Amino acid sequence: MATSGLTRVLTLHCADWPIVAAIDCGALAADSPAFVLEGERVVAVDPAARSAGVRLGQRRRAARRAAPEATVLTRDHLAESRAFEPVVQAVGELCPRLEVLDAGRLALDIRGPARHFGGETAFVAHLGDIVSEVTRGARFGVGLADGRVASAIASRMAVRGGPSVIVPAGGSPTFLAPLGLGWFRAVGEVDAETLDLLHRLGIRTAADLAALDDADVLTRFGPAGMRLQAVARGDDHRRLSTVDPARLPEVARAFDDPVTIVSTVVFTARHLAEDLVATLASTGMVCTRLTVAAETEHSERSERHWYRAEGLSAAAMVERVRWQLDAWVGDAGAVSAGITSVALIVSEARPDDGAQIGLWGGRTAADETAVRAVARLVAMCGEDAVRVPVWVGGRVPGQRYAWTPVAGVDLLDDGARALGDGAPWSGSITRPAPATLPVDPPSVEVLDDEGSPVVVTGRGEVTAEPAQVVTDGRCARVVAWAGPWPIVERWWEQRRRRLAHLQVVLDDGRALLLSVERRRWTVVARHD
Amino acid sequence: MDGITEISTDISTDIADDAGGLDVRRGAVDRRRPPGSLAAAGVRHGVGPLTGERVLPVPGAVAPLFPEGGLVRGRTLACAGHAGRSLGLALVAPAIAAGAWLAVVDLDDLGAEAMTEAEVPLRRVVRIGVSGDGPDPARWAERVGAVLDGFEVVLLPDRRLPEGLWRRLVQRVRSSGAVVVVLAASEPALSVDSVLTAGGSAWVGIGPGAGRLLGRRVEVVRDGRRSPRRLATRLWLPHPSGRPLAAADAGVDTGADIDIDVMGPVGRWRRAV
Repeated sequence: MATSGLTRVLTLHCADWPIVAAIDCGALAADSPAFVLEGERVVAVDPAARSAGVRLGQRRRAARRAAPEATVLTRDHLAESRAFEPVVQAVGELCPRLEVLDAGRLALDIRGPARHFGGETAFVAHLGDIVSEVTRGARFGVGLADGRVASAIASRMAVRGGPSVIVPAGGSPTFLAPLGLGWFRAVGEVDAETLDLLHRLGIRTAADLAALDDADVLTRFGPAGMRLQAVARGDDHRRLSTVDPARLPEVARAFDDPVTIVSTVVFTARHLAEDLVATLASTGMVCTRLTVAAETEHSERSERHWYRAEGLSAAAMVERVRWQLDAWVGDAGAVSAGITSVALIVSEARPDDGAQIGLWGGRTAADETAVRAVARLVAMCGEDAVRVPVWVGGRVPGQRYAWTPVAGVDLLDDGARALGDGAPWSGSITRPAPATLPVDPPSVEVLDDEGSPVVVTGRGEVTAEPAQVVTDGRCARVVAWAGPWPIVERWWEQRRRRLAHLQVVLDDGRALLLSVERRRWTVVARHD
Repeated sequence: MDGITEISTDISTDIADDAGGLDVRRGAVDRRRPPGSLAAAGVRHGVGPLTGERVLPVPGAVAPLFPEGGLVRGRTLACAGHAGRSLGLALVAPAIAAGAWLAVVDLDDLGAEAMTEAEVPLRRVVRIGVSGDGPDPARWAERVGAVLDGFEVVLLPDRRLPEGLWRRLVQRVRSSGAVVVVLAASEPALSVDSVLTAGGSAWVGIGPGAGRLLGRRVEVVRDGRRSPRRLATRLWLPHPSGRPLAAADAGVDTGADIDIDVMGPVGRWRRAV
């Protein structure tokens, strides 16, 4: 047993799980170069694309340039958790006390099982065999150490260096000391901003941080910094949580009529999650480990634990309910009747110690009010009616941002939101961006001085100088124009589009961006 | 807050705020407020930004149009004209940057990119389609009311609304302390406290078949119930350097930002024949 009194935690980390999941669900052929994007960043790369130079965290554009032939996939959390389900089940048979951290990652408390299998090394080897069988050759690593953080880091190292990294009991502080703080970022213990600040102050390794005076760390970085320091010293205090588990809140809802549609249950879960988070917040706590339980009319039961070091917001809870139920319902034979109840149980909480409070770069009263109003508006107007912008990139103004339903977005988690850097794409029409992008671009006629239609040739030139623009039967003179800027979209695909853009300033004061495709002109944007 | 009222008395404003007390011109606040009071108001630390401030900040270039010092909470405003939307976005940007949240109601065609260029941080922008299931005015007003409870700045489209409904909504704007900006194409149908019209626009950077849109000069006129006299100013919207808004005297040739290369390859795209 660990001399430090910390739990021995085993973490399984499957590398590039989004790729594995995409192959699993048939979206991707094995061995073809591919990478997966979340927002504008690369979150997973397969070996072929990696050898071409695609890296994790790279921007879409750079990755595209490095591997133009690679398949680009958008992250699908649901498919990922579905593909992870067999792994969870296989490991669950060895050790029922497991927590799914994320699709592709799980953690277990191995005290019991290790004894049963004749020691930790034997257990880790056995687990490795089982996982490689289930994942059919996906790369993974197993880490075993005192405390969650050391274990999570060890599992990531194991992906690179070998099938497993075992840190002996009591060895976590020595193991962590020489590590760069980037490792703690990778396992979600510190946000990018704080990390950057620490780097600028010359604090680069866990040992550097551990050596600082506690009081200094508290003054400079707040409680969040102090927590990070404790972790860096190998003192993973969350195990020492003094909160009485019996007093943690839980909420449940029973359905009078069994529900057979997952999204209905998820919708109910949203209200439950909001209640739960509000209850916790009123006592200054944040949930770090959530247990989701659901039961069908035939008493089939699904119960799973979810852990997130940063704390689970209501949106994050709902997301996990969706992953769990979807995997459960999708598992043939697991569910034979409608769902009769769903429960959210806070199984671990810690004081909301300022990690997210204003002074250290977090939320404000205005943020909280807005988030509450958004929840209410979603209920009033529907899920699709309330949206937030996400950067998707593109050459044409209307395509650079998409508006996504707020339901799947954690409004206050900037790190998870892709908002773009505003850098123009090559070949894009640059500043100023038009204020209006008609949802349904109206048709217009573009005529020359004699009243004949103007078109754009295959060489990207206009056939005559545009002199008049006719909108809704109203004719305006062109006082200035620029372009055309030809664009060939998706040149690598069959259904490519050739179009060209033209900026025009009209004598009535309007400035328009016109687009022509197959000799048809439309107003795609207005500078108003 | 004592600091604020203290200073405001020595600023001569043309318009007395009817709700009592004078507001402070934003530019003046930063310079004149005693050190520490801004921090105490939470602006720098982001704890309840702008709470307690009776006006939300506006860009310095439009100060001549806002003797009140900014967007007064609880008031309604319309932006109209050929550059009305760009003006509306530029006006609300400083408030959103300071921590307020922006609701974009029923304006599905408002470009997110134009918002970023206007320096509105997108992380605090939420778009709400309140009339997705029909144009029922009563339901519209009720939902906009719910928006007002959660957002400090609300952009609304111009629309016809029964007098009584709008009056009740205006009441709600007043009690919530939000600022409503109506984006209208021309003279707004909704009756608002003041109307800013951005007209007489002239673009630079673009010629017949040459260059591209770079900057626009506009004249902005303020009129309305809360404007006893007509106020006007000339602006760049945007400035050719890429800044979203600048005073008209921020010339193109004085700044080193612009050189002829940026103006585009003249004549390169001329017609083929």
